[in-house]
Amino acid sequence: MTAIEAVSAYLPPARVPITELAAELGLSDRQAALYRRYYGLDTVCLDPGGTLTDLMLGAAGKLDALRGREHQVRYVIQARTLECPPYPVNPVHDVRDALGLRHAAAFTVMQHACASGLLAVDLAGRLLAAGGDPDGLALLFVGEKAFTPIARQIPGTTVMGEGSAAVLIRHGGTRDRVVSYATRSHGRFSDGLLLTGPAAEEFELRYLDALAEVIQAATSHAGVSPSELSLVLPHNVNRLSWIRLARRIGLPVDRVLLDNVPLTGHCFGADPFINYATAIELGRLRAGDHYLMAAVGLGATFSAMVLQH
Amino acid sequence: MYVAAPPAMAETRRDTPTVSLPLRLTGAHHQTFATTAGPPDHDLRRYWHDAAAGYGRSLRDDTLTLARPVAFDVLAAPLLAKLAPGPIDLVVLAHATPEGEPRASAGCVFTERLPGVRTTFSVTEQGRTSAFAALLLAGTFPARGRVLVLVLDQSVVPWEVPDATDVPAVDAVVALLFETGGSGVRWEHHAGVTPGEVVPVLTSFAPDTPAVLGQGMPAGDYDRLGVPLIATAPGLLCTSAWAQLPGLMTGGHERVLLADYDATLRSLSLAEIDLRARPDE
Repeated sequence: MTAIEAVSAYLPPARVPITELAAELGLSDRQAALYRRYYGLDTVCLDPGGTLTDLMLGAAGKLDALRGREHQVRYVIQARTLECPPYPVNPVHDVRDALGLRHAAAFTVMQHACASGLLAVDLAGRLLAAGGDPDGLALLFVGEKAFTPIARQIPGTTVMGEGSAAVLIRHGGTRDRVVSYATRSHGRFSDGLLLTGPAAEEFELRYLDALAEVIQAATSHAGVSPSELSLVLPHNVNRLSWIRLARRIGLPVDRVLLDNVPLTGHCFGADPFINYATAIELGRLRAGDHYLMAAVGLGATFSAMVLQH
Repeated sequence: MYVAAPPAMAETRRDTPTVSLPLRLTGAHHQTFATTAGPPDHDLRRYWHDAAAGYGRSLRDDTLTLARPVAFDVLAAPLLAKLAPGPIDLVVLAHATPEGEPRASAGCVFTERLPGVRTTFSVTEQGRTSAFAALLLAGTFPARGRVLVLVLDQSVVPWEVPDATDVPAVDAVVALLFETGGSGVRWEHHAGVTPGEVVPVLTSFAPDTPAVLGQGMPAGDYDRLGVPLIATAPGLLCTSAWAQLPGLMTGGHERVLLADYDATLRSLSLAEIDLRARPDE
């Protein structure tokens, strides 16, 4: 069974209030106030001079569980939302080499946008299982740069921040075991960041149903009901949408870890994993707890993964 | 929707780099295209400008006034029409050069255009060997029925690339249609391989089939393999070796070895494809 062995989260030290970014984001004072008051968004972390490679190495530097086990790493995988590094710049290989993992196969998976991280956990588990090596590890990186205006916000929804997570995945073990994974892509919203007009309105209308659908599917496959989840580790798009979603699936909203929404904003695919690190720090997970990671990628892919701590 | 529980561990530990993938090739198509997309809009130009600037690079304005990168779904569209009809469970895209419309999701387009697609994803940043990585993931994924692997060479890179041979000369797509089941692909990947080690690694693979050597393969004494060598045309990148498959499927060969190497990444990938599955078109 696929398991998450360890997670490290990295946030650049510079925390910037959204109000300071309002002009750059094209937000009026009223819109910025709405983001703070209703969406719960307040600050984001940014490292304007840093690269994606720096973000990845920041997370890897905190992944103590990797030390001394580098030889066990079979795959280094980056799960990414955006085409960001200018080809042939290749951060996943640069990081692999910097960490002394040249023996490992390295590649990047995309197309699920901010839900690509959950896809990569599933794929990594399958690769490790196929190898039949109980000591084999996969090292996953999520999170990226808010490097250009269109990557800094989803208008009317969220503000993007920079942050990353390094996730060590293995097969078996007693840590966080993956129990089920559900994902569905809705191709009629494939315009992603270019989505406008009726299609954008339809996406907004269908968003909660589509997210609830994969959560229901993942929990059903795991043999638990949404109300039995001890915790949801969400993508941090905003507080309001999660309050609505929690009501929709019959989950008390205090079981959705929203602590990072005002601190980090939406850190692309890294949110559920950054939130995992926070949950551990806060003691929000007990042995045996079922919990759920959820993410939505523009384009549009809705994903949910049930794990057991 | 794709819903799955995690896999069980394989019963035996794999002690060699060789992987047997449960894929049987039933169709292969290849096409090259002249780039026709017009200049990018302001926002797209800004996107690429900022992506390049983050790594100290500049946009190639000369290129972008003549042509812009083409979106993957646009590139692949003519080949989709050639696929034998029927549901496709999984679509995997493989590429090295960038997507022409990074603000949209080409992968998700295929969930609408093709019947039955439960999920889709892309594999990149494995350079010339990206298609081989896509094949591994396609063969490891619990797909049902048919799997489509689209290998994409997009020829317009918006910024300077140090080595011009890292950019394909034309847009090109290879569509590979597989049935799941059986063991129709024998696959290996070797990381950290120097150019001088390529021939010995190939020799240890012990091919007894014709070998297609992709354009990334370094100079070497490939005659030592003792098998017929099939040349590839210059100017292709990820599609280089795979572009030969459509012709080979009708050439009376039972199996064929494809090999390619990325000198920058020091990655060598091999795939022996069984061509005896009945073509479905």
